[in-house]
Amino acid sequence: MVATRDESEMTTTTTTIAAENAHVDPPPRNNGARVAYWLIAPGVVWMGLFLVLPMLMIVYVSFWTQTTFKIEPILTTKSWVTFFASDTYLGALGTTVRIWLTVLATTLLVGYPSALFVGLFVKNKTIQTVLLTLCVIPFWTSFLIRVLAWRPMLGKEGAINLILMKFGIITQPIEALLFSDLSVVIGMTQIYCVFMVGPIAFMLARIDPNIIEAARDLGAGFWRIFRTIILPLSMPGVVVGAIFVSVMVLGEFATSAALSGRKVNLLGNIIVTQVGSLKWAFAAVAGVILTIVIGAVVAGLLRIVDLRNEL
Amino acid sequence: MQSDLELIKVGKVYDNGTPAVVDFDLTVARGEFIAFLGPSGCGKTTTLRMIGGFEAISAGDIRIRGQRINDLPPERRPTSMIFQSYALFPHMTVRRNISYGLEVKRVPKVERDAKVDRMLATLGLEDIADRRVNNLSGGQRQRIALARGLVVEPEILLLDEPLGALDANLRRTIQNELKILQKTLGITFVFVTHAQSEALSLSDRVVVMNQGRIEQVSTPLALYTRPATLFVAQFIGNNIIFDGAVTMTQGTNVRVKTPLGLLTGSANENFEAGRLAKIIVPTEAVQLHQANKRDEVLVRNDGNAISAVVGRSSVVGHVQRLSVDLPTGRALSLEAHVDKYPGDQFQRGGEVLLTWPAAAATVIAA
Repeated sequence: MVATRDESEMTTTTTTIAAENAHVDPPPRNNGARVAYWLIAPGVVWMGLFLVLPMLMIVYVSFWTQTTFKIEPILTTKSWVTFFASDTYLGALGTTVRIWLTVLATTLLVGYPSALFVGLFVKNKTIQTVLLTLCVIPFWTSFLIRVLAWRPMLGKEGAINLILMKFGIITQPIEALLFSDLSVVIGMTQIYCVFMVGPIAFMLARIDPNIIEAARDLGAGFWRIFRTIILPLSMPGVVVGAIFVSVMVLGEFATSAALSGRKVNLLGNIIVTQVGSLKWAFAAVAGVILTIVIGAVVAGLLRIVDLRNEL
Repeated sequence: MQSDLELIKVGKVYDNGTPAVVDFDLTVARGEFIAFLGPSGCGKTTTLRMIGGFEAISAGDIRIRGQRINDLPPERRPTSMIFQSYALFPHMTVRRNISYGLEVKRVPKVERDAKVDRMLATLGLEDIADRRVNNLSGGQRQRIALARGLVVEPEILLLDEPLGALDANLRRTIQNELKILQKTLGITFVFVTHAQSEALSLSDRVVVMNQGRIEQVSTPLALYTRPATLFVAQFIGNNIIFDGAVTMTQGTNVRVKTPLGLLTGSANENFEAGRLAKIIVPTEAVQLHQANKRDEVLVRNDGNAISAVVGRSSVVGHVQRLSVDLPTGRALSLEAHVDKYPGDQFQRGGEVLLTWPAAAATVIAA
């Protein structure tokens, strides 16, 4: 989306330059277009070599023949059949979708109100920027530390259990806090929430305050204004945020590896294990399936709003 | 006539302590077209937003049809606001924008549709009723904003520089439409503008504001002919202002001693002799005469005749632009219509007489 937009802007700029030069020394008519092609050439080459080609390779490798010790370029559908015949792998696909939907819901639940506060209720632009920067502070520490820091928080003898027991709210430590779906969801929500807050806050901050005043003037109360004005106008932000979160959560493996005690197996974890035991063909199958899922999710999200029109 | 809107000693002080509006007193009759006119930052928009309920008032009372509305939120005030940015709902069609207020008020669908259709027809928006608003032109958006505000049948329509974003031609067209609309509907309009021509051509009365205070409330004509303060005299029209001290008062005529001699004008108040005053002469009222006709013109103009020397002059179409130098060294710019002063009467360095009838000039306290 962003890339296409840059492209069109560049095209217009170059055309204007061409137009200015026109009366001095008439250049070839399609000069502007040719310059534009040169501008996107490095990007296209990069994407071709390092994105499209590897993806085609993965699809190709997924049909190779895998034996215990080696992999040969003899085409077979064996790896695919194994994937769809195995409860473990289908289960991993199911878990991935389940965790993804849960994290999408929690980031939205935590993120939207925060974005509403920052984007709409904080009128001062400086404070807005400060608050958004605060959201990014966790990123100053490494990903792994951020994930692992949840262990002493959520563990059986972790901070949360200790505090709850100290105040007599519980008598037995809650074991389900760590090494469960819950801990994975908590960990991922914390890490990815900011990707939801950012785009939504950005969209909300762009709403002309007069629009909300106009709705009030016409007699609408807060909830009606939220439902009919604020929510629809922030939808592009929600969709962009959801795309960020989805793409990252669907490809996740580290959070679940660190916080689930191997109980939550995502497609990402499968890929890591298979690559670890040199099962390239099988890892490729999981990779292709994951890519298809991510592609479908992004395509689906983009259907909700016409981003080109709204942003 | 019953009063629709009353502002009684209304004041607004911002959180940081700066006063935005001070002692604003105004009574607006039902169906009146009132304009708030003033330079930017004079408090006119703040006052409008206080009437609409978007700005809390710090002092005084606002009443609509006798009812005190100080503490009512905008959604419960019988006013509609037209914003300078139009503030249309960008994700809705024209029709939905207009029907929004009726939906909020739970008007039944049949009635709602009928009202919206009527409003669409009144403002000539039928053809674009089902278009989304973001790709429409400024004039169309302006009309939609008006329709959206009017369809809920407010008692008072508040307009915040509604024509500011339109080009000159369109502005004139919409000005006329606004005036006609207001007369047909009989709704009170309160209109904020910094453009003189808009305020003067549209409104029944103009409230001239400066630095949070009312300078003058009067008909557009009276702003020209009887400015009440120095600010109004400088802000509205083209006035020549002389400083002096009052020597005597004769009925409404006040004689002022100035460095250019004794000059006479009318005053709205009584002046004691010796009081410092300013005499304000609209350039339109100034007549030019040959220097040798002094005795003849002095009588006709209550002694208002000052001699001057023609400086630069240039003919621009049907008017001749003159710069004349007064004996005090001050230069004035005047316009002489070619059909009134035929031929090339005003040679550089030639002497002329400037005169005006006492009734055309206004004397105000300095």
